[in-house]
Formats: sequence, C-alpha cells, structure tokens
Amino acid sequence: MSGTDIATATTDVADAGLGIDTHTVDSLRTWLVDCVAAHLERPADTVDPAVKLSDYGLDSLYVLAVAAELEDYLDISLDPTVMWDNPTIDALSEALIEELAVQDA
Amino acid sequence: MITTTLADTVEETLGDPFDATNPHGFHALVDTAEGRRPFDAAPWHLPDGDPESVLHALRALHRRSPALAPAPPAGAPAATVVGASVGALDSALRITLRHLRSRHLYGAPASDLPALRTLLAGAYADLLLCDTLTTLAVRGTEPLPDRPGALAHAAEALAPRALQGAMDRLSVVMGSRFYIREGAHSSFQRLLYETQRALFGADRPVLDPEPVPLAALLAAPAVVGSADPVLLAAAPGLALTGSSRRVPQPGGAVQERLYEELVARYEAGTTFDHTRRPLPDRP
Amino acid sequence: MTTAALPTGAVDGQDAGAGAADGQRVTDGPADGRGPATGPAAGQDLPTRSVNAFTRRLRELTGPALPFGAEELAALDAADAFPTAACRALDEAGLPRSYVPAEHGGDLADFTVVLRLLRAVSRIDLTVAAAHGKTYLGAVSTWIAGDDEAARRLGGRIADGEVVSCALTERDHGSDLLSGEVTARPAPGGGWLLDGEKWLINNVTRAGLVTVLARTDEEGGPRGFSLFLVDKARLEPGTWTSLPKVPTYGIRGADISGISFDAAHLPEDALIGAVGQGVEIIVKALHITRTCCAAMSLGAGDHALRLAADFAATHHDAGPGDAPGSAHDAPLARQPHIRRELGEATAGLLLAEATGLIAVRSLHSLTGEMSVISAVAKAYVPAQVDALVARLLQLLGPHGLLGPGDPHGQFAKAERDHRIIGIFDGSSLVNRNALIEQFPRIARGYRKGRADAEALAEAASPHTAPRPFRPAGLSLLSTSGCSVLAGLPAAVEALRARAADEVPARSLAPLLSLAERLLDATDRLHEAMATVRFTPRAVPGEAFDLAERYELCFAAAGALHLWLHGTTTTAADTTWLRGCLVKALTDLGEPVTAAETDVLDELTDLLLDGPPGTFVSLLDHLEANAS
Repeated sequence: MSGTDIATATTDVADAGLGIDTHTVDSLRTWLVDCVAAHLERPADTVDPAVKLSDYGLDSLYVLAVAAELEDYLDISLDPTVMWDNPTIDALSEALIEELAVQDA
Repeated sequence: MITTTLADTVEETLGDPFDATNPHGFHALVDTAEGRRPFDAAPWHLPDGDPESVLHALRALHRRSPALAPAPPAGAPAATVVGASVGALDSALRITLRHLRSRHLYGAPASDLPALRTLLAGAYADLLLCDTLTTLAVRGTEPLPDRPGALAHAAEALAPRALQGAMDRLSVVMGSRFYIREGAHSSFQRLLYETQRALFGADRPVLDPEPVPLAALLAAPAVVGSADPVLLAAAPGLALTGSSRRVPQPGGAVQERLYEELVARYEAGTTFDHTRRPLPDRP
Repeated sequence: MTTAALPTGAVDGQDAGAGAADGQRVTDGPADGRGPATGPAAGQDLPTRSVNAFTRRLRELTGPALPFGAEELAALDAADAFPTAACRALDEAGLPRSYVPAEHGGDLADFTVVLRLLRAVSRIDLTVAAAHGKTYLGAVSTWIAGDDEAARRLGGRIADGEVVSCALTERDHGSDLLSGEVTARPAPGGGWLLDGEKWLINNVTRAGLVTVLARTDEEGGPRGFSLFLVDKARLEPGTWTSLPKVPTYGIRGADISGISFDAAHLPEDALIGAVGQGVEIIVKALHITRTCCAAMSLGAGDHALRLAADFAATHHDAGPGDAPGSAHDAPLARQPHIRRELGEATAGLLLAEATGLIAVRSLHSLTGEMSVISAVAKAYVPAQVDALVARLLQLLGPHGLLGPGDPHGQFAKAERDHRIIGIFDGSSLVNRNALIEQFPRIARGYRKGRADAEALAEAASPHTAPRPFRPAGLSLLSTSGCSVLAGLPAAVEALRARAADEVPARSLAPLLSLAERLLDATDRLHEAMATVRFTPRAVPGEAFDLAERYELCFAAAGALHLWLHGTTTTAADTTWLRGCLVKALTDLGEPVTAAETDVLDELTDLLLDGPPGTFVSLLDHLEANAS
C-alpha cells in the first residue's frame, strides 16, 4: 500500500467494515495495521502489531491522529490518550473492544 | 583583475572566527560587545582598492561584526554597506547550519527536518539575490538601459529588507539559542542586532518607497549572466515587491538544489556568495 | 440590559503611561465592582471595570522614580537587572489573584480579563509582564490535574505573592520534551528522588515553587514522564543548585536561569496528577498558556505601534537642504507611504487582537478545540507582531526611530523583548507543525460543517461573561476540527441577510464582497489542506505555507464573528472590519482593489487621531449586548 493516500486507504477499510455490527479484536487489528501502514507509507505486511508504534517513528503527537480516525471508523468518542496507554496495535485492539463494550452498554 | 584579493588579505589577518582563542573571533567579539573584555586586538583596517574589491573586503569584516567594521571610503557606491551586510547574513546562516547539524531533535539531526531545510534554503536564496543586486550595483552595471538607476534602487531599497528578513527567519530557526548572549552561537544575536543598525540605524539612508522593477531586473541579460536565475527566482525576498506580507519559501527541486549547494559551500569552507572565497574557518 | 449597550468607552485603549488629565476619561464604578454604578460606567461590565481599576493603578505607578518609569525600566534593562519594584507593585495591585481560578480562591473566572490585564502590563514593559505572568504557567498544571487540596494550597501561596516557575526544557533538547533526562525515582521510605538539570527557565531562581517535568519510566515515551510541584523550602540543602542567570537578547532583566537537582527528596504529595500523566498535563497546559501569550504580544504591539505613530506624527523629514516650509516640512505621518504603513500595521494588530480575543474566550466555550486554536494563536499573534514591528523599524529607523527619536530606547527594547514571545512555550514552527498534523481532521470538520454555533457566539462576544472554564474539557486533539472557520459560511450568510435587510441599502455591500472572498479563499485552502500527505517527521515545507494561510483565515474569520456579535446598529461602522479583511486577503494573495485598500488610511486616522497615549482596540468598537 506504499504511496496510497491515507484518506483513500482508511475510507476503503472503513467501507469494508460497514454492515458489520460487531467488531472483533482481529478485525480491528487488521484495520489498524492497514491504517498505520498508510501513515508510514509502507506495506501492511511489514507492520508488526506487537511492536510499539513509536518504534516505527510515529511520535507521540502524530499518533493521536490515528485516534481521530478510529473515532470516525468506530463512531465512538475516544480519549486520544488511548494511543499512549496502549502503545502497540495488539494492545490497542484489545482496549478498543473493551471500550466499545462499555459505550454500547 | 581578482576582486577578492583584498578580502583574502582581511581574512588571513583576522583568522578563524569560530576559534575561541582568536581575538578577532566570535567569542572575543561577543565578550567585547558585552563589555566582558576590551577590544584588545589591532583595529580593523579596510584596504584601499576598486569599489568591488572594497565591497568584498568590507564583507569579510561585516561577517564578523558590522559594528566594528569601518565605514566605506568616501565616494564608495551607496550600495556598499548593504552589500557588506551579505557578509553578516553569511555568518548568521553558517552559525545556524552549524547549530542544526550538531543538534538532535525528535530522534534525528535537526538539519534533517524538512521545514528547517526550507528556511535555510530560502535564506541562502536571499543571500544570492542580495549578493547579485549589490555586487552589480557597486560595479555600476545598468541592466535596464531605459531605466537608469533601477538596479541601484533595488540594491539600496529592497536588499536591506531582504537581508534583514532572512536574518529574522533564521532567528526563528535558531529558537532559544538565538536569544542567548553567551556561548558558542551567541554571535548570532550580535550579528542580527548590529546588522539591523547597519541597515536601518538613524544615520542610514531612508528607503525609497518607489516600487522596484525586480522582475525586469532579474530578466535582464546582465543579471542572468551573473547568477542562476532559477535560484534567484526562489528568493523569499522577491515577495517584498508585492503587497502580501507572507513570504513564500522555496519548494520542490529548486529548494533541494539550494540546500545542496549551501551545504557544499559550507563543507568546502567557502563563502556563500558568488565569489566562493575560501575562508579560514575550521569545521 | 436589553437596550443597545453604550460603547464601553476607550477602555482597552487606555494607556497606563498617559498623563493624569487623560485619567478623567475613565469614570469607573466602585473598584470592588459591586454596588450601583453611575455615569458612563453603568454601561461597563464587571471585567471592564476591574481592568479599568488595574490600568488606572498602573498609570499611577508610571513616571519618574516610580516602578514603571521609562528611565527606571531602561536602566534596569541596560544592567540586566530584574524589575523588582515593578513586580512588587503588581503583587500589591493584586495581579497574582488573577492567576488563581475562582474555585481555588482566586479571581480568575474569565480569561478575557487575564488577557486584558497582562496586555496592559506589556504595553509598558514586556520584561515585567513575562516575569510576573510566568507564575500562571508555573501553577496551571496543578489547576488542571492537582487535587482540590493541593490547588487551594497553591492558590493561597500565589495570592500571598509566591513566585511559581515551570521547568520543562533541558540544555540539549529544547522543545523536544520526550528526550528529557531529568529523572524522578521512588525514594526508599516514600516520596521521590529528583536528579538532573533544567535549563533556560524563566523565574526558576526567584521562584519558591517549581513545577518540574521528570522522567519516571526509564524507557520514556508519552507515559514515561510525571509532573512534580517542588517546594524549594522543603528540599534538603545541598540537593539542589540554582544555575547562573543567562544573559539574553531581550527581556534582559528577566531571571532566565536553571536549576540542578542531586538526589533531591520530594514528598509523596509533590506529584501532580498521576504517575505517567506528565506529558498529557503539559500538552493541555500549553493549550492555555500558548493562548494567553497573545496578551504579551498584543501589549508589545500596542507599545511599538504607539511609539512609531507618535514619532511619525512629531518628526519631519530632516533631509539635508530641506528648508522649513519646503515640501518635506510636514510630519512623516502625512507622507502617503508612511500613512499606509501605519494603517497596515494597525490592521495587522487588529487581526492579532481578534485572534487573541477569540482564542482566550474559546478556552471557556470551545475547550475541546484548543489543540487547534492555541496553535493558531501562538503561531500567528507573535509572528504578526514581530512582522509589524520589523516593518515599522525598517520604515522609520533611518528617520531616527532607531536612535535619537526613541527616548529611553523603548521602541528598540520592545523589538528585542518581543522576539522571545515567538520562541518560548513552543515557537511558530512548533505550533505550525502541530497545526499541520491536524489538517486532515480540520479539513474534514470544515467539509462537514462541524461548528458549535452557540459556543462560537460566546467566544465572539467579549463583553459578556463566558461559561466557567472546565479543565476536564481540554483534549490533546480536537475531535471536531475548528468552529471558528467551520462557522464562517454561516457568518457570511448572516452578513448577507443583514445586507439584504439594511436601510439605507448597499452600505454593507463592500464588506459583504470582502467577506465572500474570504470564504472563497477559506474553501480553497481547506481543499488544499485535505490533500497534504506526509509521514511522521517529514512534514513538507510547503505545508507551512498552508498553515500560515490558515492562521490568516482564522484571524479574519474571528474578526468577522466579533463584528457580527458586537455590532447591531443599522448604520454600523464597518471600517475596522474592512481594514482587517483587506489586510488578511492581501496577505493571502487574494485580489483586493486599490479603492478597497484605501480603508487602511482610515485606520491610520483612527491611530493618529485618538487622544494622546491611547491605543486602538477592538474592544472599544464592539457593543456589549449586540447579539
């Protein structure tokens, strides 16, 4: 996905997610890997969900932008610091599922 | 005729400005300006010569201290002091580059940040523009025969603002280091302050508000023949002829060229102006 | 009050340095702000009355041998000496209470008041303003994240005159806070041990209390730092050292220094908020302080512009051979190009003021958008003031303003002093970078028209009391974008409706035409912003040009919102707003006719024709109850 523009990439992923009412840790992980790969302009298969986003050069303020996109995608309101408290895609996916459960309740 | 011989002599006499033990160096000059030590070196002397040779010799002095540099000889072209200030911008740019190359920000050398490179490239383009305008004005060139005096007007009314604007933008690049009156880079603030007074002080000529026909000048054969028009066209100072106060910086390929050329001249230890005089500065 | 409010009088235009006769123009209600007000003051809101009382006090302190005397302040500056008497006078005038939120026992209920008070101080001397106002930055982290008990305790100490500093930066890392090396480790037996050096910190030697950002996780990262409120009096002697004063280009008297800790033991309750929250708290604190910096820029801009205008009004072009009575024997201020420059500077300052006013009021009503608004305010206002001071210096310096035409060197000092505002607390570059990182979000919010109209109206009505500020509403990132610009289409529509209804017809048409061009430029700008692509650490240089244009659109839209909410009468004065729009559109590179640009000369008249020692301020042109 190198060179793909971020908006298009994330919109495509978002569209693919439409109609699915229940997100899973796996589906979120896949979405996040694509989203981060688009930001980094590198192929999705080179983004390891167990590695800290900061190790990819996503600095602490930049990474907040991902939280903004997540809000749009999941249609929930998120404290952007969720990105800081869960520094890997794996951790973030788990945290988001919990958050979704809370907000749906 | 080699117009830089006098300047070379001045440089040789005054030595490496970055040498902390040099009585003519930046450390000593800041200490002198701050009253921390007397100016105990031999007074600076501006050698006699043709106007262009005098311009470059004066530049060699202004690159250390506009305030300590003697006035140009009586009868020197009016653009001489403005042209000499190109030397102060040379030093300001050199100090900024030195600073950024030695500083790490956000995990990489600060000089790698594209926004900072853009500003450095812009300041360099302004230096080239002011170098061209003032050098040709001191030479007495009339690039637009039907508009006599147009070039001198550009050199005297526009170049001071372009030079000062470039220094001001570099001060933002320097950040808090610009604001400190001691330590390795403190000659930056001194050069900025002294240049401001050398260009706009109470004894300086009032800037003529008449519009400068800069586009026509830059397209004239005499100017095109003495500097790369593509680089000059990227100078942020060109915006001074318009009414917008936003100062667009160079972008794209020309920005990369400017930055590469700037770094090449820096690493080769030559001046940034068109003469590329060798400097006694150690890296 | 339902009647059209009285104009508030030349309140913000008052000069603390003006002569006593000028003081007659201010007829306040009782200084405590309670009880029946009489006379013209009846039309003044409570904040205006308290600002007035403070300004009057400043005026009494200005004069030979007084704390704010021009000669005294110039001598201190020349000697790099701290303005002790002036700061003490501000303590006695009660200014520190304005740094303490009302809920913690202070007077701070409206950031507009803080802006006006600090602006009034900055009009006289920026060194004093920066030295005194720093206590707010020192305390703000506790207001945001400290517990009530800690906040009340701190509020009490500030009201008693304690100086509070905030130590973020270190020698080799500048604005890069995540590289900080000062470390706090849990101490055996409780509390913390603090090690390392903070440097280039305003007031850190004078302060009794210092908020310190320290690494609490070896690996660092955004959750690896915590904040501590260090009480120097409670540190073991020998575990900390003050570093020498650093001589600076401007604000020479200020205490810019450093502090070094060597296993300094902090009690458990020194921690502000929770462990790991330090960066989050500081980023939010900067949303407030970067916004309030506008006060200092506006005051310095007022000062420099007033000095330049007075100089131009009283000096003649003294070229050789100019006999009295010759063509040149007129004040500089009558020369067309100098008039135009003064008018342009006035317009620039009004745009900066519009930005500052909207921004401080947004702290109350658009709290969640401050990641955008504070970045705009901190990038634009200082840069705009630096630019106008530079133009005035270049224009009038050779005439004598950079020399004998500047008694006590006040203009030159303002020029040197003000440059720090664009550097500290994050430079224009840092703030533009922060803005650019939010471009996709801002552009999306604009496209979707996400504007909180009610909150925006509140932000644009500076003579009304805003809703209480809630620190919990601050967010690291604005989720909705920016209402000031997303609300621009509706503002232009409102102006169009007024123009359609107005009697006599067509007096608003020239204004509407400018506003429509602003909207058009703003539309195109947001389209360009949406297409900017960058990877982390590689924000392209070109994006900074878009950020500058964004700031201009924000400033101009802010001016329009203020006008709409502060102007009711049908024969409304459009001069200042047309001046702002012409200046912004010109700087944006949008087409503006020569006839339209002539409005700048009307602003020059506003500047030159005002009573001596007054300033041009939007607050004097906005009605209190217009909306």
